[in-house]
Parts: sequence; structure tokens; C-alpha cells
Amino acid sequence: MEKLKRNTLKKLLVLLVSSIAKVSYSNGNPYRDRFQSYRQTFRIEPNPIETERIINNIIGEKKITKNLVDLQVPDTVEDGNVVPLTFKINCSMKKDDYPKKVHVLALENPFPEVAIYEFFPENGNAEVSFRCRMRTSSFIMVIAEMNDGRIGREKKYVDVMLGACS
Amino acid sequence: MFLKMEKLRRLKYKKIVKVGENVKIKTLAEHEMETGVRRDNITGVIYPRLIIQSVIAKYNGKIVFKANWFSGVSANPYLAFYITAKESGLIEIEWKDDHATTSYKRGYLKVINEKGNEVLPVKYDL
Repeated sequence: MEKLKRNTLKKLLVLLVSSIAKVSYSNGNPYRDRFQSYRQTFRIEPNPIETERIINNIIGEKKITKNLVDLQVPDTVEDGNVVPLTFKINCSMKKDDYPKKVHVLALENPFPEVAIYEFFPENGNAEVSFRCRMRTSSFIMVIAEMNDGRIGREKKYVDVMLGACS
Repeated sequence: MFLKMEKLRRLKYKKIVKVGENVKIKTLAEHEMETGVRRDNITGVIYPRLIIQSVIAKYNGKIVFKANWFSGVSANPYLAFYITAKESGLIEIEWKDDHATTSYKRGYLKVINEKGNEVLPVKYDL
């Protein structure tokens, strides 16, 4: 009888210890919640075919003129949530010589289009600065559609330490 | 509600300028641009998408600058652009949300002649 009691007590102890260990290690490796990683980062994969389609839609079969766009982006960024970006378009903002639309694209974002800006001859300097989000280190592209049909394009690579989910 | 929204939007520029000068206009909206991709860590519910879609700038009632934004623009979006000063007048800026709620901010720009007189948009002779 005494042996039985001891055995049962031992079993109970083992159960208790194991249950406590389960609770305490639940944040650790073996008992980790299976969906935790899924919950933390819900991501749609970037689609390179889609980005190519968007760029082809804008440019089409027009010729690209050089030295139209000036892009100023830092080479390395710590936080992908805030990437300062300024672009300038080299043109005299008179009668027909102004950009109609300027597209900003961050390739390898799940949604590669970032912004579209429309200019008018009233603003005498086609320069805009703003901040954008980037998922991973990738190219930033600026495409300018001029009023007389010319097209300018520039690309720059940005290293991102900590990506944002955008 | 209107007063509250006015506090969250900011407009900054040089108040008094000369004719033909390019004025840099800086705007900032305090807005948490939800991309619609983020999930809650505990419950796993997706935060619904809520971003500022478009910004329109008017100078004396005429549209001067437009911006269409997507989910790639950062939170608390900052925007800076230029306007040539012709005559003194009103600068209005309009932010449009995903729910089509609009918020405005406006300011007066004073334009000065070479002699130091103000150039008014309405010309009249006595």
C-alpha cells in the first residue's frame, strides 16, 4: 500500500512539474503557438510581373529622354517606415514644358505604386518632397510624363535595415 | 469635430513674398495611414485599410497641385511643393480620406511689389 501511495505521489509531482513547464515554456521553442509568426506578419508576396505590367502601362512604346529627373534618396535607411524622398524635374515651367504626371514606384513592395503627382504651370518649380514606406531594400523608380509626350525615368537603389509592412 | 480636425493638419510657408518668387509650401497631416496588410498580434484580426487618398492645393480658387496617394506613403504624411507668387490671395489645401471625409486648412499669402505695395487680386481705380 505504501509503495502504491509513493508511486502515485511521484506521478502527480511529475505531472505538476511538466504542466508548469508547459506554461512557462509556451513562449519558447517547443510549445510555440503555430500561428504566431503568421499573425505577426501578414504579407502578400511582391509580384514582379505586376510591377512590369504597371511600368509598361505608363511608358508604353515611347522613347525615354535622359537627364530629365533628379532623384535624391539616402543610400541606406534604418527604418523602412520613413524613407525621405525628393525629386526634381529639369524643365522651364512655361506654356508646354511642364510635367503632367509623375509616378513614384517602389519595386518589390506588395503594392508597388506609391504616389502620383500632377503639376500645373502655376507652380514654378517641379520639385516635391515626401516620405514613403519600403518593405525591403530595393529600387525606387520615378517616371515623369511631360505635357508634350516626352518621358523621363530614373532608378536608385536603397538599402533598408528594418522593413515596413506596406 | 471640425475644430479637432483643424488641429491635426498643418500648413507652413513664408508669409510675405515678392512678385515672381517661388514659395515653398509645406504641409503635414497627422494621420495613421493603415495599409490594410497589418494584423493584430493577439487576435489576428486585420486592421482595415484607411489612408489619405488625395491632396488638392488651390491658390485663389484655382487648382495648382494634386497628389494621389496609395498605401506606400508613410504615416503622418509630409508634403512640400512650390508655387509662384503672382498676387496676394488665399491658399487652400484639402485632404480626402478613404471614407471621403475631407479636411481643410487655409492661409493668406501676402505678395509685395518692388515699391513695397501689396499686389491685390482685384484691380480697381479710384
